[in-house]
Amino acid sequence: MKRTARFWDWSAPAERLALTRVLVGAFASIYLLASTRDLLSAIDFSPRQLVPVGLTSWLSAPLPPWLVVASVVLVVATGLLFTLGLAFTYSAPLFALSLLWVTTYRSSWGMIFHTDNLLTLHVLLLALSPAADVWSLDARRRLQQGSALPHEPDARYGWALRAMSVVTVVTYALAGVAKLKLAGSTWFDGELLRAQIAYDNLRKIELGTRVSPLGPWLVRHHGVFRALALATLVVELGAPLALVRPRIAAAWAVLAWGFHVSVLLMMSIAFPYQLCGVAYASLFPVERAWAWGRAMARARLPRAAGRAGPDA
Amino acid sequence: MFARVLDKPELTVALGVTASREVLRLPPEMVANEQPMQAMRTLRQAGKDGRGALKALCTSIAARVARERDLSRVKRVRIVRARFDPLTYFEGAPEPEHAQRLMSCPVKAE
Repeated sequence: MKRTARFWDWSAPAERLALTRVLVGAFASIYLLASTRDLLSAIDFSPRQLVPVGLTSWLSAPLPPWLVVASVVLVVATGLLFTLGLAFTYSAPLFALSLLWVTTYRSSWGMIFHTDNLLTLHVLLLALSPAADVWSLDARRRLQQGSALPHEPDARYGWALRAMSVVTVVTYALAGVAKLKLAGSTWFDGELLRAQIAYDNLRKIELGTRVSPLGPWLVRHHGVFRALALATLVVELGAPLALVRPRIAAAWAVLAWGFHVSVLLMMSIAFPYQLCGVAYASLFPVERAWAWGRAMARARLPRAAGRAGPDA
Repeated sequence: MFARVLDKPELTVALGVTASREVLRLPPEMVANEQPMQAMRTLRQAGKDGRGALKALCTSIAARVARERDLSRVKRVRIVRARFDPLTYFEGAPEPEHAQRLMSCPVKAE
């Protein structure tokens, strides 16, 4: 019990939470802008294809096209406000809810976009936290009005980062548990994974999409899949260990990232949030990397350094 | 993800047929959007919904194909349901074990 309390009552600098907000918000904004066509394509789907899930379960018919467009515009606009930390008290919950809505609606047409889940959960947690107390336009305005910015680490900046990390490792652990629950010990002989990779590549080829040549080539080599099946479970079931100490977190994040690279190479399935590394930001003191980067830039470009980076 | 036990899956696919009877696989954006899985579900759902839905989907695919310069050779669209063996597919036997034509429609030049 004490250990649990200590885990959650963890102080972090405001800059760490704020930089995580900027990273997650910037990623989400770019991802949403890049996915606009996909998000709007639901307008053209047959109403019979609608299989509402989660937040959209109450829908009995597709949304009118104007509402789909309005939802996408809202999520992109509030995403930018969230990233910049402007009117955060209002823009952050609005962004989190509109992101949840838009991603759920996208998954309500017979295909669940697993790639959206972790990002959406992270944004929801950040929206509930004081992630714009520094390094934001709100903070800059407060500074101009004479308010002091927080300088000491505090538990109110730590809990959201902890929660984000817990959510991250739980998503992996659940995937591992699902494999054992659905496949049992047969997972370990690797044939199931081989069949999955073969099927995924087959359907993409037959549906007229290009696939990476590695997957089809590897399918012919039975022996590799026993090791790959075991490695997959090590990454997924080992995920909670990342919460124990920073060095384990670093090692696990590298393994998890490698896992996603393998999935990309073998099945052409991209998890952009994980592949760009932002999904793991909450596990690390990201503000130190920023400070280090600034120091390096200052050392190399002494004149430009004075203007670089957010001051508020 | 990737945990379900698979057998020999049935796929519903969209094909393009040229004047010389060459058969091309049509990309997912001709069916739904750039997501192959979304295209797969769209085709499968139309297959489940029957001839009316298949005809409507076939016509909408044909209209998209007509607008696509790269697919100007395509004269007909076919929607086909086929059963494959995923493992033998990559071991020299890519032909389906069973295939059934569900719908066919012409591509009308724009």
